[in-house]
Amino acid sequence: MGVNATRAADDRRALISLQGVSKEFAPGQVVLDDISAELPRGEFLALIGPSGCGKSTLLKLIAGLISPSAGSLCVGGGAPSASEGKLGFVFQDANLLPWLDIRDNVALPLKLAGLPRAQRDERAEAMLEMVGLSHALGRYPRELSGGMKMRVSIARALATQPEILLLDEPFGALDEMTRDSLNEELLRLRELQGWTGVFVTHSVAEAVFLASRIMVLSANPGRIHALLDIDLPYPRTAHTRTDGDYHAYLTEVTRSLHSVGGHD
Amino acid sequence: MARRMNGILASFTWPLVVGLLFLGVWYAAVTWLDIPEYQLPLPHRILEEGVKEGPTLWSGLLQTTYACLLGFFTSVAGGVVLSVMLALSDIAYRGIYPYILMLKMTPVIVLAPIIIIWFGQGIGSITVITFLICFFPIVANTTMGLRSADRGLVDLFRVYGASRWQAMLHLRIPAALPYFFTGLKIAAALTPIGALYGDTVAGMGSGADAGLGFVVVIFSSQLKVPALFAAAFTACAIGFLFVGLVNLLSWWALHRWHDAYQQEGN
Repeated sequence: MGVNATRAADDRRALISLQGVSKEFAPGQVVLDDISAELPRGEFLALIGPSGCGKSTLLKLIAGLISPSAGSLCVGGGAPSASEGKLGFVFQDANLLPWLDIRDNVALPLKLAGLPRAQRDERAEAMLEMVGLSHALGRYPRELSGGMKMRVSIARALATQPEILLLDEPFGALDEMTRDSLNEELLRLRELQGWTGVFVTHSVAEAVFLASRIMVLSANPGRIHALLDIDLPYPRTAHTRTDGDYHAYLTEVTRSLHSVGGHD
Repeated sequence: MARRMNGILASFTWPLVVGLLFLGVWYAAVTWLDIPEYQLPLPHRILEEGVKEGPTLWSGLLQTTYACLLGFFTSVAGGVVLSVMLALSDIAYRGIYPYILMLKMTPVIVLAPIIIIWFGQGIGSITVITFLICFFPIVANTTMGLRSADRGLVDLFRVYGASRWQAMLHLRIPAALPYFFTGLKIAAALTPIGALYGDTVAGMGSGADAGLGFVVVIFSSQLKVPALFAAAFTACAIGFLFVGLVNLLSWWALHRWHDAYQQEGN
C-alpha cells in the first residue's frame, strides 16, 4: 500500500459523518431527531426547511459550538470541538469586530491560532484580494455596505485555508442582486480552494444554485425529509439560472418543501 | 472653512449672551434689593478677593488635583482589575458583586470617621474617600460591558478555538470600552466631590498642604464670602479638567469605530 492508495482511501471516507444525531434543548423539546448523513470530500450540502427545523442547530453541532444529546459526529476524522483550523464559519450578519479594520478582521482567526503578524497580514491581504476588496484594507466595518461586509466575512472564514466551510444563512439580509453575485463568487472560491461546504438557507434558488446535494428537513422535531442530489455540472455561472435542468430542480425542491409545510 | 468658523462662533455666542444676561440680573438684584455682601457678593468683588487669595486658592487647587488624581487612578486600576476578575469567573461575580453593591449603598459620609481612624488625617484618607466614590460607577459599567459581548462574536471566538484569555483580550475588553468610558465619565465628575468632601473631614495643614475643601472650611469660618465664591469657581475648574480629559481619551479610543462618533466624519 503506497501513499497514494492511503490518500485515495482517505478521499473516499466521509469528511463529515453524522450518526443518529439528536439535540434537545430542554427535556421534551426535541430540535433535531436522529439525523444521519455522510458527507464525502468536495460535497457542497445545503440545509433547507421551515423555521424551527433545526438547520442552524445542525450547523452549530458540526462546528462543535454545541454538543449532541444523542448520537455522534465525526468532523475531519475527529470530534467537532477539536476541528478548529480545519473549519471556517460564515455567520449571519457578517459578524465583524467593529473596532478592527478590514485587514485585522480577516486576520483574526490567524491571530487566535498564534501566527506572527507579518504572515497574518500577508494572508489577510491575499484573501481580501481574492474577494475583490484590496482597496478597503484599512477601512472599518461601519463604513462598508452589507455585501462588502459579507465578503470580508467570507475572506475571514477562508483565511485559515479550511477543509470545511460552514455557512449559516450568510446572504439572508442582502438584496437579490448582491446575493446572486455573492453566490457566484462563492462557487468561484470553491473552485479555487476546493473546500467541502455545508450551508443553511431559506432560499430554494440559492440552495439549487450552490449545492451538490440538498437536505430538506421537516420541523418539530427536525428530521431528514429528503436528500436530493443536484446534478448540475460545476462550474455554475449566471447562465445556470436560465438552464432548464436548474428550473426542474427548483420545482422538485419546492415540492419537497411544500410537503413539509415549508413555503406556502 | 468659513462655515466652520461661523459654527464655532455660534457655539460661543449663546452661552455668552446667557452669561451676560445672568451677570446683569445679578448686579440689578444686589443693587435694588440691597443684598449685603456676606449673603451675595458682587461678581467683581469675587474676582478681587479671588486674586487676593490667589496663592491660597492655587496651592489648594494643586493639592486637591493631586488628591483627585490619586483617588481617580487607584479607583480606575482597582475597578478594572476587579471587573476583569468578575467577568472571568461566574462564581466570583455571584459571590462578590452583592458586597460591592453593599459598599455602594453605604454612604461614604458614615464611613469617613472610620476611614480617618484607619488612615489618619490627610492625603491617605482623602484618597480612600475619593476612591470609594469613584469605584462603583467604574466597576458597574465595566463589568456590564465585559459580560455583554455580542453572542455571535462569542461563537466566532469559540469556532476558532480562542482561549479564555484570548477572548478577554481581543473580544471582551474592546467590546467593553464604550461601557468603561461611560463609567469613567461618571467617575471623573464625582472625583472632585470625593476629594473636596474628603478635604472637609480629613483635610489639614496650612499653606501648601491645604486642599481646596479645607481652604473653603477656613474661608467659611472667617466669613470671607467673596473668597468662598472664588473657591467654588476654582473647584469647578477641576471638574472641567477631569471630565474634559476623559472625553478626550474616550474620543481617542472610540472615534474610529464607534457609532457615537460617526457624525464627526472620518
